[in-house]
Amino acid sequence: EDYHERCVQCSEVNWGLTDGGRFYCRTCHNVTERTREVVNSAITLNTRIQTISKGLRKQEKSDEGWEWYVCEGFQFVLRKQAEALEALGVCPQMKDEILCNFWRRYLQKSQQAYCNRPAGESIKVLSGCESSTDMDSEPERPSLLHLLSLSESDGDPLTDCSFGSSTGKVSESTSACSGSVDGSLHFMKNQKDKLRMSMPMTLSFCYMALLWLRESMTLSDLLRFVVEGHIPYLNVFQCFPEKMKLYGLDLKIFCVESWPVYEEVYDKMLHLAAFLELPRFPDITDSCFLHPDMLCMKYLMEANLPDELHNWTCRVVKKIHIGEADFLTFVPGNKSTRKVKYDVLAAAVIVVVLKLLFLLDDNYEWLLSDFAEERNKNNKEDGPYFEFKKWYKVIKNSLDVEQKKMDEEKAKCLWRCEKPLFYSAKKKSKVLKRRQIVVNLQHQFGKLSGSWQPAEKPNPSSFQLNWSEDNTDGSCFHGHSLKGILQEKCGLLTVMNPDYWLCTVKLCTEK
Amino acid sequence: SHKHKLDFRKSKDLCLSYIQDAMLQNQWKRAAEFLTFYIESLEKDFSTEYMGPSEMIWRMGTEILCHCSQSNMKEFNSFIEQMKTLGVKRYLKVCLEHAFHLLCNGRTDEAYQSLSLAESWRFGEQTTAQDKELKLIQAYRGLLDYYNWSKQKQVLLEYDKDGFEDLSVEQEMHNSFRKAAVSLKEIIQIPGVWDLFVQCYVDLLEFYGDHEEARQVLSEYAYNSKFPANPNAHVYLYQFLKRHGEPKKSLISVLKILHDIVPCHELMIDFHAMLQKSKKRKRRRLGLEVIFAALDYAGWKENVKAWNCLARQVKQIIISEKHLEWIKQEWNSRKDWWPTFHFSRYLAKRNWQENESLAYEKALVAGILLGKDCKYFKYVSHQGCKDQKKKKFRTLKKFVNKHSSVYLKISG
Repeated sequence: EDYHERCVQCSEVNWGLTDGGRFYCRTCHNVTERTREVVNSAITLNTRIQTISKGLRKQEKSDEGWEWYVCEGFQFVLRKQAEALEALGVCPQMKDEILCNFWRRYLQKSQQAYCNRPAGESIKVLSGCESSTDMDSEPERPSLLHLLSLSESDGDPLTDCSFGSSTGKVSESTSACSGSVDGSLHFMKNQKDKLRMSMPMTLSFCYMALLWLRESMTLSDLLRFVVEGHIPYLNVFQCFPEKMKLYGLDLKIFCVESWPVYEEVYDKMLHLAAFLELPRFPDITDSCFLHPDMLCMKYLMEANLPDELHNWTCRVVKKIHIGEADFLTFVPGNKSTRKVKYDVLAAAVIVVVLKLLFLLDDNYEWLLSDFAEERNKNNKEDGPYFEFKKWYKVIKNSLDVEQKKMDEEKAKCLWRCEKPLFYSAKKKSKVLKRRQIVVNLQHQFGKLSGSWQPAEKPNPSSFQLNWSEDNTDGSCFHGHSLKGILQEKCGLLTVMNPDYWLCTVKLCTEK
Repeated sequence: SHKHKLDFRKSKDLCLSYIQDAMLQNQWKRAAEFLTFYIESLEKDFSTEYMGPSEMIWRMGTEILCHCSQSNMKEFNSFIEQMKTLGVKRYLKVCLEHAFHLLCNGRTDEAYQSLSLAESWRFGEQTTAQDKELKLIQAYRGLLDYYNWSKQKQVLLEYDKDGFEDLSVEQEMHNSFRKAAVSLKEIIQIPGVWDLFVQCYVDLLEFYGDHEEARQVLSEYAYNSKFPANPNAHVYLYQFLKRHGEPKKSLISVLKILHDIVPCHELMIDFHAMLQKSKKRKRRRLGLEVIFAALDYAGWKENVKAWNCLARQVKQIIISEKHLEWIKQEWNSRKDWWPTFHFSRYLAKRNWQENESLAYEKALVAGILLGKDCKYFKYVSHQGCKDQKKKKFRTLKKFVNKHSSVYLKISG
């Protein structure tokens, strides 16, 4: 917007902008009350540049820190997450190639780095404002982002050495309210911007990379590993180098107080993939882990259901054509194709199959179960028929036990870590004192309760529930037969139950 | 949009519910375990909550430490010290409760030190904001001064017996007296219930011969309308007056108020006895009212002494053939429910089984008030007369038969 008012004092039209965003007359230096209504990033960048350009102030700082940018922080996080995934068995390609390429592309597209003019320097000049004076006084910024673009050809772009060697002492360019240089900028950027980098989004990046490589990990698996602590997420900033000081608004960016939500991570991934203009992802074929045939097998095992049900899940998958590569493969940005949640899809197929076989109207399934029970009583030699009731009891018991354990673990979750966090230097002593009190009290009551040990991380495992045929108590149903509920019709095995869903729709006959 | 509450808060709320469950089931180790995980809430600001984590931790931690057998006083004290630093707005309250805890564990000296320290605490605006707690701290410190005085007094008495003298103990005793007197006097001026403080203060005053002040204090405590109605206040005043040989008139006026507030008070027996001895007709009339009123209460149903009082007075009235209308007046509001309440056949059997003296007294009253054909009297007198040795029952029977028409006049 042009500001063409005449100055009250000197009647000139020669406006500039103060650091505080107010218009001032360059001729007589009269400051008005008029401010820019819309604080767009260009302005704040302008002021930031001005501050940086003022150069190093000779102030003694007791602790030396680096200048670091928010995206560097996230880069650390991604690196740590990639390493963890590698430790879990994901191929090293993910870390060294896929993930970092995605990240670089993201930085490029969002103009934070790897481009000729990082966003920090593409200042929109105010009309009526002589920016030349401002621009001229700006010296060659020791931009880390420049270094990033230079180091593109380096070996491992995700190492810290490219950051560490560049800067020296902290300067006043670190904004007062965050340890990072652009913490406040990042935070105040349009909050609705789906592609603003955040902690949940790091998982979107990870999942996207996993999907590209068609690794044996669904999104729910990934998130579970995060909650179990196998993938750094909570308090990940603990692994930042000592010199990368974290405080103020950085806390809002890097500290999480909620576990990631499936929908949110998934959504962001879709947007991200479109934003990065990625091509069609590698095909999901029936030999992939993510294919419903595979996932159904896994979930059937975990749910302690008979292996024979797998035939049925495959039949359903084939029937509704959800096993085809074109359906399953991820095509970013294409609004017309369905976006598939592989884990949810597989679970849904199993539910549908159970519905087909057992109706699940709280009547028929128990009826069938009773028949199977009768038969099993009278016939001990041949393999047992699957008894729904028995299965339900077994699985319900296990679920209850696991749920109880999980609830207690949730209650025992420790969110704080050794590295203290504070919003400002003023609060530092208070925060440290508090931490000391907390540690003392934890010891005191920990002694009383026996041993003070935060819950141990369970060993990472793809399966949450395990059932073994070796158990003599007969609690494993994998080998049980579905014979009791099937009948032969026209040479094909079909269900005895003719109804489906709310019993209002009759199953159509096989064509 | 997503859930409004962050998982941090949710997990802490969940943790809290586990602690509470464990505490309610007396599983102290488990409570301590979960409390350990709850403690980090202190690092989060919950200033909008009604009761923040620091207060929760203080209260729950205190309970757990009290009940966990492994914890000891030293641990408890160090825990409390930390609690004191956590909330300046609660500082004096924590001090006060800590002192109570020490007292409950017999550590009077430590309690005294803690209270004295707290008394001298100053913290700007907070000092005035926590004024009430400060006054209580001073009052309890004064109480402990009284306790010290009392101990020193004992020591001196022992020395006296052996013919010793000890000026230093005497000096200490006077110091304690002075400190106690000042604080106790201060607190009982504030409208409230200060039974223990009043009694101690009066004890001090009496010892040093200041009866006037003592009487003043007790009268204020009993009669000042700003103070909440407190039957004990009247009891203390009565006991004081009795101790000092005050005339019956004063004693009766005090007990009259007590009767009005608490008709079932145990002193009603004494009151009745006093009133009966009086020559004044009005007083004896009041006596009848008092004893009837006391027996209206379930707690007095099996009080032999009370029934005895009533029986004697009733008997006396009947024999003198004067003032039958007194009984009529008292019986008027009771004739509908006393028969079931006191004189049922079931009660007759039970009273006879459990307490013959009780049955005897009650039978007399029943026989007069309800006539010789009433269930109670018939049963008891029949049972009583079976035994040749129990002459009194035959006398009773005769008496009631003699005056068998009285009940008609009464109920008429």
